[in-house]
Amino acid sequence: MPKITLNGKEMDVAPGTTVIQAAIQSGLTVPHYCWHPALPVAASCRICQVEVLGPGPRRTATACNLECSDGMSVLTDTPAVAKARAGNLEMLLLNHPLDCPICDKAGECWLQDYTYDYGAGVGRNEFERRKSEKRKPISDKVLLDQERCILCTRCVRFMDSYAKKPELVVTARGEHSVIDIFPDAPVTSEYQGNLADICPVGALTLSNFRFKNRVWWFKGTDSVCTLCSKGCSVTLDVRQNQINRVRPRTNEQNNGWFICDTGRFELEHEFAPTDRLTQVMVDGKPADLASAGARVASALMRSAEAGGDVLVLASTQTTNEDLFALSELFANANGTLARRTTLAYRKVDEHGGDGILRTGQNAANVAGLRALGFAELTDAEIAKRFASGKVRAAWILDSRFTTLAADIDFLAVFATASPLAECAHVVVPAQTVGEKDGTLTNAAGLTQRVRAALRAPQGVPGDLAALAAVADGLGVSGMPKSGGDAFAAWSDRAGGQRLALSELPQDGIRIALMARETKS
Amino acid sequence: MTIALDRDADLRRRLDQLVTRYPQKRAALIPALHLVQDKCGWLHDDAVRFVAAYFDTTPADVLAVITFYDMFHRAPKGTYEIAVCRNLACKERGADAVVKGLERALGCREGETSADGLATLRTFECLGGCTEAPLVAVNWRYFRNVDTAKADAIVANLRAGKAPIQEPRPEEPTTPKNEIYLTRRMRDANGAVDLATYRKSGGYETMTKALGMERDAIIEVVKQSGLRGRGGAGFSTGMKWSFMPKEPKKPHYLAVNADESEPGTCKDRLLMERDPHSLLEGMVIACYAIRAVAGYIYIRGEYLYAAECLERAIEEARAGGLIGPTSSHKIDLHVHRGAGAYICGEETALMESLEGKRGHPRPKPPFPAQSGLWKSPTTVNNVETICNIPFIVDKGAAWFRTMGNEKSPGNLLYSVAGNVKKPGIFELPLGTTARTLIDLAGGMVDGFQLIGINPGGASSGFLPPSKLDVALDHDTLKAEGSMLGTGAITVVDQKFGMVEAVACFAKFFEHETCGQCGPCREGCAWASRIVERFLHGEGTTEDLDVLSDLLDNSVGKTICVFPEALAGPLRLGVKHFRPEFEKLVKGSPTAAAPATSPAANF
Repeated sequence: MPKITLNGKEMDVAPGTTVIQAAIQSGLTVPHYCWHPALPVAASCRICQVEVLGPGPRRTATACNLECSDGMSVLTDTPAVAKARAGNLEMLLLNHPLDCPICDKAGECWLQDYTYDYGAGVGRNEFERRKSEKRKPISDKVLLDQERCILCTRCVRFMDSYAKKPELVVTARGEHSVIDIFPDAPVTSEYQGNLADICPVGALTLSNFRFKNRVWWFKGTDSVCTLCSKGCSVTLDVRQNQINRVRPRTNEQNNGWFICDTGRFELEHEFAPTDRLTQVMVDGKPADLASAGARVASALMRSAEAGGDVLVLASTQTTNEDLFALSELFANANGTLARRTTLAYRKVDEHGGDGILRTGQNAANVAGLRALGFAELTDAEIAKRFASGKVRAAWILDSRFTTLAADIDFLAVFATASPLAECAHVVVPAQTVGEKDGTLTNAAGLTQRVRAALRAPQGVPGDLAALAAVADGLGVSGMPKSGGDAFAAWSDRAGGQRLALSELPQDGIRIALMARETKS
Repeated sequence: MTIALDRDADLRRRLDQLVTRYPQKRAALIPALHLVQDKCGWLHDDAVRFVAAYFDTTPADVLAVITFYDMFHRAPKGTYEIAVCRNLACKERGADAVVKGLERALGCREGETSADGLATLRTFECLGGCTEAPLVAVNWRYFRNVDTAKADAIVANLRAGKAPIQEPRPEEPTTPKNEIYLTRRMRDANGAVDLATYRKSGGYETMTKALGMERDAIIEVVKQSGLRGRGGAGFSTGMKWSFMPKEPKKPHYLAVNADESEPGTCKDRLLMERDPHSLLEGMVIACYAIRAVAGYIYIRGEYLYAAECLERAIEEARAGGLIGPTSSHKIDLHVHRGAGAYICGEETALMESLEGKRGHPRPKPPFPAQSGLWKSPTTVNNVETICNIPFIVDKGAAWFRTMGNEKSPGNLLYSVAGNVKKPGIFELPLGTTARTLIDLAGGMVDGFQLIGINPGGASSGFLPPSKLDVALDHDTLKAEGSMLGTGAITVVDQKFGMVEAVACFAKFFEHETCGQCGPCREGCAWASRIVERFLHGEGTTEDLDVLSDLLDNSVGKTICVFPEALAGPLRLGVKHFRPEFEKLVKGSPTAAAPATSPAANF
């Protein structure tokens, strides 16, 4: 292992490590534009200059493509480095429009940041600034401003090496070089939203975000995308209880640095649907949660005792903690009810993934359901069960389950929204994943934390509280009071190891889930 | 149009043939674009889509390549494309007047196409005809020493339906009785040397001899000879070869740099047009020594005639079993035309371009000998360098060292361009002085006084007349802050002026920077604008300080040494000729009337 000296401190690095990687590993900041950990090295922006003391002559060099060699000594902040960076920034700003006040990137622009850190403070260009296209849609999602572009080519390399669609390229040469598309050939990649994130300046921005907000008003909350079983780590940028932007949250164990466009543009709708149930209803009349819980409990008990089956359909779009509470509810219920009840979930259609991030299974927490022994039922199997007439009571917690043609004695719907609510005996509004604390387990077995980013609408009681109300009705005690409680018990039950939610690493944890015997 | 291209069986056959030359299909992209452009006249959207489909990529990917190169057109052009060289030697000798003449004759402005669709008129950076200035190319057929009368005649002939034919080269001026070898055969043949002539004078015998030698013994001879690369950097050729792995794990390649585009330089064209077999023989020896399976001559696209000469020679040599699959050594050689980008003379940009991409220099390491063409070990050598090889292998290192001096042995193809009486290319021992060369070129044209020289191409620094007796070799010129470069001298006269000469080169670098690295992309344009301001008598004294500082901020800060090339002429231009700049500072009495008229009416 090469040993290098970085700012006077010795460190061992893995063979092949570059100076910029070594610097990041040791917590140092080396400014960079073109370098990106997930993309091939271009070494063209030239801002990551450091001073190499040796071996070889003392010199400045770019850190991104300088491989650490044994005995190498590097300083990341010297007068020569500062001069090189200031000189570089002057060049990059020479023809830059300096339209920061109306730039969506303002506040998270690296040109701003580095200029603040290293810039000379004055510009010496006395010539007219270069003009090029300022608002060119490169698709219906992304806008290109060629004047703001510093030609770091992150976007070009992303499209080529990551999205496998070289639809965005550098055209022309020299100072006329610009990022561009082929005429009438907009970018089609399902990953193009990432372009706005990886662009270190305001050259590529999202059309749906244009002039909408100032990023410094956002509160970012760690979450997980629930639109497929990859469970990409995301940050929800929230202002005034509204998701304004969904961004990838770097997670090298899972999604790396990126997310797909479905997650980016549709997760807001999943987490904050416009059409919500907001009123607890019992037999068509507004009611409180306790009476709703009691009504569900008594109906299920009555149905089981009369010899009917009970079908409980859990959601794939909910946390392990909710699923655990639901499973606990029946594990501790009266024997007849427990025996007569099937805890199930609807089988999600699977189509092959895209070989990048999308798994092709459009559900969040199938792994969690499996780990708790929920039975997987196809729509046909569900229909058959109802058609047989044996199922006399159903409790639907799956908002995606929308049609039920069966003559049963009792129907409860706990959902964010559901057309079944109209014919249900009990309706309890549910939270979305964006509104609660807990964990989700992706298809690869990675369990990640989600945090409440939004306040649920008035009238939505909270899923654990709703389950607790039913438990009260059934006389079941010891239900988890919080996500934390539930997680600790869940991890013990599902993974054989009691963990604390507050100590869950940000990147998640792989818990070897013990598949439970499925009861069907 | 797509349908037409799709159905074009001849085009398909030629494309399929092209791709067989390379280990990877993509490498044929630029030659393929030439073919398609020749068919369509220009590369319209459908043509681009057709090429993209052929190469299994997106039209955007192809567009990126097309727009990097000056010779590709994304707009319709006339039947003929008339390119007038606008760099130093041509401009000194009246290129601006030629442009005006052509504008008159065609009835259109520079950059436009004549109303009758006959021709598109363009100005071009150096076309590599500096000793034949002003140079005009019509569909890349070169016309030498063009004046307004000749420009009229060129247009009249095109109107009369006469296709342009490359004008024969004149006899090169005689050189004194020094030993010449590089130009001996062409001198004796009094024209181009074909295979029969080449073999009669012992051609390809050294190749046979070399193929019987140990590979490393050849490298050793070349090392011992002290041969330094003739492309400008002057690195030891033998040393470069010795960097190649001794036990190939991947196929090795030789790339010959025939992208001669440095203003002032035109000597490789002479070798390729007149004595192509000497290059081919040298290439086989080099390939054998460095264990390469094939050699590619990357020739600038504008050198159409030279490329044809090479293609013909390669066909002759293949038919004669001297190279290619039927030869004993199986080494094959190919010509690969670029498409108009000076940066492709930088060895890693050359490789990118040869692989069918934009000519962006690659960061080093890895060096070409580790990972070059198609990630295989590759050596890149200049044409003249390779032409020296058969002689060194034949006659030995000691013989080679009898010419030139200790650190810079051998002969060099010097050239003298600008307002001298007999511009030309001279084969002389390294270390010859500029004064000798200018005398050989007949001295200055009457009425023109020498005020300075550019000793070795646009990236070498200008020198004042006091340096005329300096030996033109690598180390002496380096000590002067300049460089030998390609040994291409351009004289600057009092009528043209040094500021305009500097501006000419600054403009050149502004046009030719690849644009990859910020400091170079922006710096070249900024520098050029500052120098141009002086030309208009609007310079400021601060400008020269800004210029110096911006060069500091670019030099050594980029992937390749392009900013160093820019800095060469600018720094010495200001250092040795500062008063000329100061005369053009705004407000000074001499600034009112611009130094020269050409810039003003160009």
